[in-house]
Amino acid sequence: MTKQLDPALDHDDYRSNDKSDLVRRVGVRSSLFNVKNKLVGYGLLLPAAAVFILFFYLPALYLFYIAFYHWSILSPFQQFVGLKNFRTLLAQPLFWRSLENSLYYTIVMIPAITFLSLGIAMLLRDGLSARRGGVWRAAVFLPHVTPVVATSIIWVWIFNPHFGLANAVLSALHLPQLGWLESTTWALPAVMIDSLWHSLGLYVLIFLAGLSRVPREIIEVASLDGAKSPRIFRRIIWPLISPTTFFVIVLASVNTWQAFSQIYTMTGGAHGGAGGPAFSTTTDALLVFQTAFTYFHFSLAAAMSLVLFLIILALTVVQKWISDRIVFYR
Amino acid sequence: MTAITLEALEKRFGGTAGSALDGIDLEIADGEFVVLLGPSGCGKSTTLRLIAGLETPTGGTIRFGKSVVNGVEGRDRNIGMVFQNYALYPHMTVTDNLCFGLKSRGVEKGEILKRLDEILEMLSLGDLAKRRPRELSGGQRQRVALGRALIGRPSVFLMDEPLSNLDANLREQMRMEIAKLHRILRITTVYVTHDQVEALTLADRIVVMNEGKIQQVSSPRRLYDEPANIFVARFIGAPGMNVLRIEKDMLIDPDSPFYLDEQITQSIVESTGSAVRLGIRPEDLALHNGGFPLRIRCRVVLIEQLGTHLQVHLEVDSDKLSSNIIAKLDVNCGVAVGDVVTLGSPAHLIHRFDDETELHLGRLANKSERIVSLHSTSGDNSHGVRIGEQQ
Repeated sequence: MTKQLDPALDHDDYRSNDKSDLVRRVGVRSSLFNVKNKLVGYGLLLPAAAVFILFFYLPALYLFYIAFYHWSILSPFQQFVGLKNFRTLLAQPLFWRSLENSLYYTIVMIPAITFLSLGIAMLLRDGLSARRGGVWRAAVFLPHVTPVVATSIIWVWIFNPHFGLANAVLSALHLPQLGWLESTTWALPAVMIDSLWHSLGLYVLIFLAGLSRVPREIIEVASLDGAKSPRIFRRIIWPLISPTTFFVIVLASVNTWQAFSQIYTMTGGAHGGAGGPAFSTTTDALLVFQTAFTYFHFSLAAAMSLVLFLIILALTVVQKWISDRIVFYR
Repeated sequence: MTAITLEALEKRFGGTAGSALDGIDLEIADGEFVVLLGPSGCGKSTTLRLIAGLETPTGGTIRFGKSVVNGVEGRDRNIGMVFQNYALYPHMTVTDNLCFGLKSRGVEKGEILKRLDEILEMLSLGDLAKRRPRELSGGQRQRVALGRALIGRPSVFLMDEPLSNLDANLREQMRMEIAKLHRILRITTVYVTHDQVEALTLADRIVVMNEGKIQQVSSPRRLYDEPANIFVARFIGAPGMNVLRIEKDMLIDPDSPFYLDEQITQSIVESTGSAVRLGIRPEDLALHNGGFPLRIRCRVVLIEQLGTHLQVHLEVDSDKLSSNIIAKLDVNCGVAVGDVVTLGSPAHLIHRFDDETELHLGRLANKSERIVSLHSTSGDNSHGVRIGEQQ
C-alpha cells in the first residue's frame, strides 16, 4: 500500500512497508523541509533585523547602562553613580516643567486627534460620493506625507503675530489677535495646531478602515429599528469601532509623547533656542535632545529618556487595562 | 396590517446606463405572502429596499394602505426586516438585540419584557437569551433576526434572501418555520429570493422579475403551468423548460429532426412569422412510443443519475441547428451516451411562444383533447419535479 502511495519512498526496503514507517519517513522528510524553510525565513529577516538591532535595540539597551553612570563622550573611564542622575533630574525644575508641558500637549492632542479624525472619517464615509470621496481622502491625507520640518516653517509664517494668516483670520472674525509663537500661553497651542494638521490624515485613514468594517446592513437595521443617528452612533458604531479607537489612542499617545520635530522647528531650533519662549514649549523629548546634544549631559539625558519610557509604558498598560474592559473584539 | 401598492415605481442609480427598476406596478394584499423571484441583478432587492425606505425611488409611488409613504423614513413605516447575513448587533446579547428597537422607540419597560418573553417563547430562544451572536449557530442567528423583526409588531414584514446563508437541511427547516409564522401572524410579507423552491413553497403569489421589470405575477401553480413568456418558462422548474425554435422551412424538410403531426403543422403554417417556438418541460418528455404528435430525434450527450430519475442532456440531431434539450427519463429507460433516440410529448404538454415577443400563446391542445396520457396524475408542482412515466 505504501509502495502505491510513493514508490520512491521505500524502494530499498520492501519489508518495512507498514503505515507507521511511512508516517515516520514522511515526517523526517517534512521536518528537513521545515528546517530549510525556516532558514530561508530567518535569512530574509536578517537585513532588517540587523539594522534594527544595531541602530535601535542596542542603543536603547545601552541607554539603561548610561543612565546609571557619569558618562562622558570624551573620557575613556566611566564612573558608576547609581541613582545620582535621577536625583539630579528630579531636583531640576525644568524637568518638571517639561513633564508638565508634555502632559498638557498629550492631554489636548489625544482627544483632539481622536474626535476630529473620527468626525472627518464619518463625513468622508457618509457624505460623499465615491469619486469625490477619493479627492477628499487624498486632501486630508496629503499633509501627512509632507516633511514635518518644511511645513512647520510655513506654519511659523502663518503664526507670525504681525503679518501672519492666523491673526488675519482672527481679525476678520473680530476676535482679539494673539502672540502665537511669541507668547508663553499660545506657543504650545500653535504647535498643537500644526501637529494636528500634519498627523490627522493618518488617523482619519485608520478610522475609515475601522468604519468600513461595520456592515451597512447593521446600520440599516438599527435605523428601521427606530434609532436616530445619534443613538445609532452611540450604541452601534462607537462600540463596533472600539478596537480602532483604542489603536488610534495608543498610537497617538506614543506619537505625541515623542513629538519633537515640529516643536524644535517652530520654536526656533535653527537658531539654537528651541523650547521657548521661557520654556513654555520645552517638552520632555525636546529637553532630552537639548540635554544630550546642546549641553552634552549624556547620562542625564539617558535618565530622562528612561523616565519618558516608563511614563509611556505606564500609560500603555493603563490603556490596555481599560481596553480589556471596554473594547469589543469580534 | 397593511396592503402595499407600488405604482410605476422606478429607481435609477447614478452612473449606470440602465435603471435598476423600470416602472414596477404591483398590488400586495393585506396579509399576503408575496415572493419576489429572479436572477441576481433583476431588481428584486432594490424593490424590497424601496418598500423598506432604505432607498428613495426616482419615480412612482409606494402606498401603505391608502397613504403614500415615499417621503416617510424607514423607521416610521412600521417595518420588520430580515437580511441575508442576519445583521445582528454583534456586541449585544440576544436579549439586547431583540429589545434595541423597542428601547429606541421608548416603549415602557414592562411592555418590553412582556414582548421579549413572547418572542423568546415563539422562536424557542429562551436558553440563548444571554448569548452573543458569535456564540450562536447560523439557524439560531436567523431565528434571532426573525424575532428582532417581529418584536416591534410590524405591519409589513420584509425578508431579503434570509435563508441563503444556511445549509440545505437548516434551510428547509427554517422555510417551514417561516411558513408557520406567517400562518399564525398573517403579516403582509414580501420575501426576496433567487431560489424557486423557496418561492414555490412559501408564496401566495410569486412575482418573477428580470432586468428591472416584472415578468409575471401569479400563483406558484400557474407560474409553472402557464409561464407568461420564455424567460419565466426557462427560469421556473429545475431545470427550466426546453424551448425549441422551429423554422417553417423545416416542417417540409425530409431530413428534419422534428416530426409534427398534420394538425399541428397546419396550425403552425397558418400562424404569422417565419418560425415558432415550442416549449416542453424536461419532465414532460418521454421516449417515443408511438402516437405523440411531436417527436424530436436527438443524441444523448450526458446522463446524470439523480436516483429518482435520470437527467439526460441531449442535442437535436441535425446539421442545420444546434439545440440542447434536457429530459427527465426513467432510471430504467436504458439510454446510453451517444445513442440517437426519439423523444416525444403529447400536445397538451407543449407550450407555444411568439417568436418575436416571446410571449406565451397557449398550448398546442387543451387537456381534454389529450391523445396520450403521459402522467397518471398531474402531480405536485411545488418542487417543479415531475417524473414522466413511460410504458
